[in-house]
Amino acid sequence: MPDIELISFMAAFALSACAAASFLAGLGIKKKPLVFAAEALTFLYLAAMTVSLVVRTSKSGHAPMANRYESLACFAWSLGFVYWYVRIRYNEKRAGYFLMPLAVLVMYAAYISPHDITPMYPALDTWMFETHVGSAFIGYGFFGASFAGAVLYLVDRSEAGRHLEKLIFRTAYYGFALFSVSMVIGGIWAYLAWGTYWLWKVKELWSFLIWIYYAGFLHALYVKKMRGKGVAWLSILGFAITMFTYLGVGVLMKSTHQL
Amino acid sequence: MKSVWEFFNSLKLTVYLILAITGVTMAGSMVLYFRPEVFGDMDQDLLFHWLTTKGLLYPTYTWWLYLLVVLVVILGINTLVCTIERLPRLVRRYRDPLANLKDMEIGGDAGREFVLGDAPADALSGFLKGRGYQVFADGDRLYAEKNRWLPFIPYMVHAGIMVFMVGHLISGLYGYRHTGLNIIEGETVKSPAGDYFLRLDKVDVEYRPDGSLKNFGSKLTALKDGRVIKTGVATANKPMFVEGGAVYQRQFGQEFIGLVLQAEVKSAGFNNYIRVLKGASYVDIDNTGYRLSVDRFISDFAVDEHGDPYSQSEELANPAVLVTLYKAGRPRTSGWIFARMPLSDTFKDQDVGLKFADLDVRPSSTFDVNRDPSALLVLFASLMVMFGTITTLYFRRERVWATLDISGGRAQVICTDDELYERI
Repeated sequence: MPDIELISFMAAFALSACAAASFLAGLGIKKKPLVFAAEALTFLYLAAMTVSLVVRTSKSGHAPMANRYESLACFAWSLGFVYWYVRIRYNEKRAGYFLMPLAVLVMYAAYISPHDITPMYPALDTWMFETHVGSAFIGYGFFGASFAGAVLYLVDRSEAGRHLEKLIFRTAYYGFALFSVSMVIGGIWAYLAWGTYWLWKVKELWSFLIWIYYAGFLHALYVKKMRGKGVAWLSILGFAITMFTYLGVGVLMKSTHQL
Repeated sequence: MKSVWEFFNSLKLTVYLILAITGVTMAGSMVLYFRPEVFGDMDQDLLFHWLTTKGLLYPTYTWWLYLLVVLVVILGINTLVCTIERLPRLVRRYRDPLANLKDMEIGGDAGREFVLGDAPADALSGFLKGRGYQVFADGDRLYAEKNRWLPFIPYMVHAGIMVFMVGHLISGLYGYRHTGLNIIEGETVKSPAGDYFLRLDKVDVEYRPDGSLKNFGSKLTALKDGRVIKTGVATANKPMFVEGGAVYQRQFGQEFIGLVLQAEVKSAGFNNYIRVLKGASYVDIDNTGYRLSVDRFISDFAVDEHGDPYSQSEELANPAVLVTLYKAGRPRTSGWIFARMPLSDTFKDQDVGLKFADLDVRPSSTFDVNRDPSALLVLFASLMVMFGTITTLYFRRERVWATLDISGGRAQVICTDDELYERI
């Protein structure tokens, strides 16, 4: 019997690569058919990843967040999801220039990670874990969209205006709200599981860092001197912090949070 | 005093403080990661107790924690002052919505002009009301707003953050944390906190068909002054709350109690099992006049280069016991009895035969016993922050300003919602 999960994952990997290539090709020559193709490929990529994750969930009996492969696959899915959210809500295609190449890298990292289904440790077998991780991933995706808006703002000065500022702010705010959900649910879960809502560990510190940084970022938008370029750079730095927290701390440092 | 107030009443200060907190936390996280000997036990203690004891011993590594506390306190004051300063203004504006007409110049947006017919005020007002706006008119000027309550939500979030800080301060000062309370099934031990006892009635471990661990937990009874005050189960993600604290299931395992030996005493016609408890001094062989002393117990027997026995691990891989047989209070025979090692037992006696029969192990659990007096306060504050941020995702505050040319049937309209221009 064909392994639908693996086939759809591999298809999604290929589609993400094609979508990223189309976006980047369209960037230079600005040909509409290329961007249209990129969008279609991104849609197919999201659909294939959804199938892969749904099949894996039904096979394992738990949300696909128990190991590195699943974590990366979920994050890759969230990048596609956020692309389409931004596309529909803000009519902004260009977030794909950054989100899709990032999706390719994440998919590659997932591809080289062991695909085995690992059982869920009892403490992780709760809706709080899934909500905590799921909201964090989608939050990361939105921070990525804010980063994309910031880079566009800095690169294409002719476009620098209300639209991109709104995109940078609103997507960062979505990310912040979802990350707040992740932090709060994670705190409640930690209190019930380990007897404290806060642990002095590297991942916890960096998660706090993301939250407080974006809280500051949202305030910076109301400081006149920081608007425009300043906010764009802050968004870029924020996404760098986010990625380090997700990948850097998880890969380079031993942590109770694997990824 | 006024200048101090003004210093704290600053959004710029908020941003700079947060950037400073970001920098300090980044640096601190690295120190924390690379110095586990300093920070490894932080979570087993209350924050402020740790800061005033162990933290002071290593100032080179812990400076950032003190700085972080100071910065967070300043941020708390900053949040409080900004709230005190701005909230009454917001309430006044809520009560007097026409005061918002002054905001027309915000963003320098000139808006668009619309031809609305004979009664432009009525036409625009009817249109906006139909779209959920509350409309306020003042002569030739009109102001409308949707979700007027929304500006209060950030204050709810800020209040949540301040309550959280207070809660975290209480958590760091009061309560207790005790880790590693090991109880063997059937055993009753004094709780490390409070004047009650905990009895471990049963350890339940559940496995999935593939053999992986599905769940584990312990049925516990709390006793005080000889009475049962609570029975409950502590399991993964579900502590047992008792006497203002909570008992958390940390681990489960098998606790080694001792060995079961098969004893045969020819002269007395005795052939039965005897239990040799770990740590016991003597074991009587019933009605035979013989007594055994347990001289040494080794969990994983091995012999070093000098021929001396030692335990090569904590595991019960090859348990062995050194016993001495006594008769009428005088030592008679001594020797080792092995559980698994393919060696002959060195215990040899003409009348008494001893052989390993079984390990006496019982289920056990390890618990943490914690109390956080402000857990509910922190939970409440966190939910305020969470619901506040989520609310602002679903609801948008939209505003409309209009200058009406009543005789000309025209209106100059500025909308925060760009889509509205297309629909007017």
